[in-house]
Order: sequence, then structure tokens, then C-alpha cells
Amino acid sequence: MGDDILARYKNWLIALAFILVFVGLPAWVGNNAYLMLILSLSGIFVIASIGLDLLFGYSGQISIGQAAFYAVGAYTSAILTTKLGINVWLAMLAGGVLATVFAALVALPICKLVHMFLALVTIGIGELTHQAIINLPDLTGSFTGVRAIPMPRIGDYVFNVSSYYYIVLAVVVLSLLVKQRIVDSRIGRAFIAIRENTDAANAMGINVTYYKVVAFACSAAFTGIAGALYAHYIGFISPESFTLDQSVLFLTAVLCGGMGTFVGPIIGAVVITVINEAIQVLGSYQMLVYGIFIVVAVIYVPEGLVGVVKMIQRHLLKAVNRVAD
Amino acid sequence: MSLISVENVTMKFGGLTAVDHVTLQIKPHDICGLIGPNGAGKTTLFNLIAGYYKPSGGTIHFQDHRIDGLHPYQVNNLGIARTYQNINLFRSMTVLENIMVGRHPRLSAGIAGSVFRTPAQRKEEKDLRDKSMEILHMVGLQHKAGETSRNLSYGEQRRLEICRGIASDPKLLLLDEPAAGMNTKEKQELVEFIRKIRDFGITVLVVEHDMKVVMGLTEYVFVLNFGKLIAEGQPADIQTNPEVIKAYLGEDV
Amino acid sequence: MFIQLLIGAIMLGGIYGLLGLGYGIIYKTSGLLTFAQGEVLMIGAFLGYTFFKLFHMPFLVALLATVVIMFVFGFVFEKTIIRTILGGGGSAIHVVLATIGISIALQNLAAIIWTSEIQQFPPIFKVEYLEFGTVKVAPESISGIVVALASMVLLHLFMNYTKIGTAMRAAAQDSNAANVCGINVSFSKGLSWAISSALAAVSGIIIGPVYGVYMLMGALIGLKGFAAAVIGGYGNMYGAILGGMIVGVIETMAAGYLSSSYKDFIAFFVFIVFLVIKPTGIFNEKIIES
Repeated sequence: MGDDILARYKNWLIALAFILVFVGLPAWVGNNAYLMLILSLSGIFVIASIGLDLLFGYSGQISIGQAAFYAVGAYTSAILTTKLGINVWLAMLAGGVLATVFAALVALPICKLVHMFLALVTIGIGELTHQAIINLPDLTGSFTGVRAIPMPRIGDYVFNVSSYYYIVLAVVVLSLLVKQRIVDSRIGRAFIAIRENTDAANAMGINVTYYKVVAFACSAAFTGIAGALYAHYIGFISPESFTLDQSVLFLTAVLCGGMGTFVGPIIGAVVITVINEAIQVLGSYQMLVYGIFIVVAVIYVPEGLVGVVKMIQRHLLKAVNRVAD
Repeated sequence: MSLISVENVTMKFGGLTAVDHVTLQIKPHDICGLIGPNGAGKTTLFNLIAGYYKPSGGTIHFQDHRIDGLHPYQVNNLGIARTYQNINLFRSMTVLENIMVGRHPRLSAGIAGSVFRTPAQRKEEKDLRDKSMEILHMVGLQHKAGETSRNLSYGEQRRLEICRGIASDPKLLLLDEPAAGMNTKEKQELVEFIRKIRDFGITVLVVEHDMKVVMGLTEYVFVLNFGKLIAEGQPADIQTNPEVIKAYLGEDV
Repeated sequence: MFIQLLIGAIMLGGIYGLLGLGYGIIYKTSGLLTFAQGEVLMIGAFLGYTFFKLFHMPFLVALLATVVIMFVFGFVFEKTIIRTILGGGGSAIHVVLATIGISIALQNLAAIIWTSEIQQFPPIFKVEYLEFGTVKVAPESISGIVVALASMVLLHLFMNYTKIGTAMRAAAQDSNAANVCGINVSFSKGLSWAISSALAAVSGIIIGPVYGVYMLMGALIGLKGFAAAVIGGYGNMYGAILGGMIVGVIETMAAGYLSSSYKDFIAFFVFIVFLVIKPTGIFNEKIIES
């Protein structure tokens, strides 16, 4: 019981340390614009990965269609601000809300499916959303996309591509907090029970359908907000960013980071974003390397990098103990 | 004035009739046994009561509610809990968390409460932990509260599963072969534990193969064979019932 | 125009069916999903193109060579990558991700070897168009349908009338029992991936001459192969063919009579509807549901 409390606070202390590091980071790296780009994109990715982790890592529902929720969040916010002049903060929130509602509606008929069939239907949802974006030119601009998506502002101050980083950082911290609160609650326990043993969960009084839909909705809330953040950061969105490839990226991040853990989605999102940027130098070979990287990662690190981190921790502890003796 | 009433219930799986027009009543605060040879339909009957199957015919009433056809979670919400023949714990969760999940229907925190950590939610979680530890104390598992449940010994896992069952303060507890794989001492402790459960006001229906346990523990026994209820009564009478003996030992006795 | 559309629909349907067949065979023998079939189709098309156009082999020889190569590829893929993943503690989702990785790598490999431009098959037949009254049909479409049908018939014969095929079906139904009967279940699994790859390669050579060969040709087709498998009943051989035809017809008719940009939307919509309302498909294959 005492270990339980220490474990919980240990996470928060580490998190606090990280927060301080990240707040100071821009000044530290001399406001290098490219690094800031990677940090912001990583942060947005972390938020979306948290969403998928809640859905897959905790409630055990596989989704290879998260790009759909990402798109709903992005397009809602982009359209509300560019076409209706709505306040950016409100529009981003609306993006998250709409993504959540969309997910709840979609999840209701599909959540009874599991494993492979759920994977397939989520792919279908992702593709359908992608096609819908392309086929509604008056709303979404189809392939031309939505341009000149405005930056948010506080009073007279308009954020720019550098200071946007702090918005992303704040949302990442908030997301981690919310996720932890969901996980460590009656809701989270219901999710895990459903993942571990759906029949037993049902027998324990858990309305499985309800909680599965809630899991989808929560997942979309995070992913939709991430989409909205993405839209206003890049300033331009088109259907190309919301394809199956994007959903696969989210899945890769969560699997390679380590599912159902606190740091897993963070590690995975950062690693994937960094790798994505790093392989740009390979030019025409980059996707080949990326594909091979995925295969290698899956073969050698199936439980994710968190597993590797834990293993390193264990070896370190052993070494320390041996030295101490 | 029965707690639960199974009325003419039949369960067919394609051509196979697993439960055949079974009618039985259980009075509150009884410890009842459900026995019969392998394949007699005992677990199927449990699954019917618990809502896992919908009967092909007949009805089931629990405290004036009609429960056949309800989802398992709805049946649980009404006050029926169950354990499984093969232990069905949430293996990656800790011992304490398993109990806490068991108490799910008695809690009310939703998304908003959990995310915003309202005072009501905090109190509920604290009470939940206290109550769950109490339950663990009853079977001597409190020192293993933080242990991952898959690491427990077989006997401990069985005890944990029963604890998970009573965590929701049920009125009826269905135990499916709780003594399986236990030695004599463990079985004795189990019998005492179940008596304690009944003293809490919980009615118990036990499926068991060990006749000593059935004789020592139960006050009323139902006997199934090939899905039919072939006998019911006090344990001593059942022991000498010719139909029952024939069912277990075959025709040639 | 209807006849023209119908012929195109049947050809597409045949390809979706072949892919769906492949998915079904793999699922039945190993319970796994693969996302690389579309790219196997693409590589098959490129290989066929290379043999036929660049090496000047006769068409049927090129077809055979491609099929054999991709058959071996499928077998080796199962024995190496799939086995390693499953042996190292991975589960089905890891295999899924690995096949996605392979598909990405293959796409890029194709672009490197054959450039990212659309390559065209030279005409296989001496006639450019066959004419039936007012209907003009490219002979490649007809030959495509014939090849698809022949593949299906051959597969049916193999599965039902040969010892190996029957052994495969036994292994798919109950691998433990099959093992006890002396059937090499492990070989069976490798064979199933090999056959699926061969079917995808054939599909590539069917569609290559009609629509051209390019790096992204397999992506969407691969997904529609899933639709074919699901609609027919995932794992059911004849269901896959029927499902493929349904998808091919719906898609082609939608493109012809409504708008070509809606065809993918409609195809995926039907796919989702089936998954939600009748996931067991037309032939009622058992699936895992919660």
C-alpha cells in the first residue's frame, strides 16, 4: 500500500522535473526553429497517442482509424475559424467536442466487434472519413484543403510557430493529468477489466457496451484536440494528412512506446516523430527504411520501448545492488 | 417467498438440450447445493441465472424482477454475483484492484467525477479502498493487496475470486466448484468462509463435486442429470435417493 | 455501356475475390491478418511487366515466373518474419503492424527499382479491341477474367482433391488434431501464405495490362480485398469470390452511373455496413464477437 502511493508520487515528481525541463528547453536550445518544430509536432503526437492508448492499451479495442477523429478535430476547428471567424480557442474546443460526439455515434454499432474485425471496421471508418473529406469540396475544399488557418491569440498577442510550443506543452501536461485520472478511477478499472476479461467484467456489473463507447469517446477527445492543434500550428490542412498512413503512425507510436503505461505513449510519439524527421535525409529511401524499422521494432521490441526502459531499470538496480554489497 | 425462482427453464444449443424444464426455488439466507454428474447442466444453469445465456424457454424471477434475458451486468446490478469454474480473475490487475472492480455496481462515479476528482468521488474511492481491504482481511489476503493477481497461488486465486464476488454486496452468490483443487484444510476453511458469507445475509448456491463439502455445508440440495432436475431435498435424503445414486453410478447398481 | 461496365466489374470482382481468397486462407490456417497483399499484387505486376516487356519473355512464361517467385516469397515471409514475431512474444497485432511495415517498404522498393512513374504493359494480344456490336472490350479484360476463373478453379481442385490441399483444410479446422494425424501444420501455414501471395501476384498481372503498373496500385485494392472476404464470410473460399464480385459490381456501377469519385466511398460504406450488421458474411462464417 505504501509502495502504491510512492509509485504514484514518483511519477508526478518525474513529470514535474520533465515539465520544468521542457518549459526551459526553448531558451536552452537557443530557440532553434527546427527543434521547436519537432518538439511541437511531438507534443501534438503525444496527445493523439494518449487517446489511442486509452482505447487500445486500456480498454483493449484496436483502432487503425484514429485519423478519422484527428481529421474531425482538425477540419472542425479549421472551418469554424476560417469560414465563420470563430475564436480559435473555442473552435479548437469545438473540434474536440465534435470528434468526441462523432466517435460515440460510430462506436455504438461497432464496439461489439473485437480483434481483427474491429481493426477492419476502424480502417473502414478511417477510409470513409477520408473519402467524405474529399467528396465535400464546399465544406472542406477537397484536395485544395483549408488554408490560412489562424493562430490563437490572447488579447493583442498572437501566437507564432515558436510560442505555439507552450500551448502544446500545456495541453500535453493537461492530457497526461486527465489520462491518469481516468485510468486511476472506476472508469479506468472498467476499461482494464473489459480488456482483460470481457465476460467477467460484464458479470461484475460493468455495462460493457457503455464503457466501450466511453473509451472511444475519450480517445477521440484527445485525438480531436490534437488534430485541432495540428491544424492551427501548420496553418494548412488537406486530406493527405488524414489517411490510413496517419492512423498507422499512431498505432506504431503506441505499440513501439508501450501500451497501457504512463510513459509509453510519450516515448512512442517522440521516437516516431524524431524518426520521421530523421529519415527525411534519406530522400527516396526514407520510406523503405521506415518500413524496415517498423518490422524490426515489432520483432525485437514487441512490448514496446517501455519494456526496454524497464529492463534497463532492472539491470541498473541489479548493478547498483551488487556495488552496494 | 423465494429469493430466486427458476420456472420451467430450458436451454437448447442447436440439437442439444443442456437444461430441460428445470424448476427450482431458493429461499433467502439458505446455502444450497447444485450437484450432478459432469455435463448435467449445472454451469449452464448458472450461466442462465447470471444472464450469460437467454433461456430457450421458461422464466427466471429474482425478488419479483424478471431476469431471464437481461444482460449479465444488469443481473449483477440487481444483486446476483458469481464465480467461475476456471478462475476468471483480471490477471494483470492487483489483488486489491480485482476487489475494487467487483464493487463497481455499488459505486457511482462517472467520467466527470473521475476527471475532476470531486469530493464525492474522492470519498467514494477512499471508502472503496477501505472496504476492499476489509474483504481481503476476511481471507487473509490483505498483505498481498498490491500483488499482481496472476502471481497468486491457486488457492489464493480461488479465495480472491470469491471475495470479488461478494464485493458488490450481492444478495445471491453463485459459486461454481469453489473447492476444486483444494486440500482438506483449505476446503474446511472454505466451508467456514462460505458460512461467514451467509452470516452477512448473502444467499449462496454452490456447485460442487466434493460430497463431503456438499454434506457439511449445504442445507438443501438440487440434483441435475442430463439437464433435468431429478431430485431435491436435504443433503442426507439426497445421499440415499435411488435416482441420484443411479445418476452418478449408472444403471447397473 | 452496361455490358462494358459489367465486364470491368467482373474483372475487378475477380481480383478482389482472389485477394479475399488469400486473406481467408491465411486466416483459416494461422488466424492472422496481413496488410501486405496489395503490395504483393503490385510487386507481382511489376515482375510480370519486367519479364514480359524488359526480358521479352512470352506472356504465359512471364506469368508463371512471377507466380512462382511470389509463391516462394510468401512461404519465406511466413517462415522468417511471421515465425520470428510470434516466437518472440508478439501477437496478431504485431504481425499486422509488421505486414504494414513490409507494405511500406515494398512500395518504396518498387519506386526505387522501377521509378514512380506508371509503367504500361505492351499489348499482349495482336488485337487492340474486341467488338461485340456496339461494345468495345480490351482483350486483356477478358483474359484477365479467364485467368482469375482458372486460378479459382485450380485452387478449388487443389484444396479439395489433392492430399496436400486436404491436409491444409484439416490443419485449418483443428491444428492439434491435424498434428496428431501426422500432418505438418507448420508447413501448411507456410503454404497458405505462399498461395495467398501467388493469388495476389496473379491479380497484379491481371490488372497491370488494363490499368497500368505503378507503386500505389495495390493500396486501395488490398483494402477492398478485405471487403470481399468480409462480405462473403471471412475465411470462406466461395464467399470471397462472391464478395469480390459484389464489391466489383457495386464499385463499377457506382462509378459508371453516379460519379467515379464516389466509388470508393460507397465501397467502404458497404464494407462497414456488412461488418456491423452481418460480420459473419453471406456464407455465415463464425467470427469472434464480444
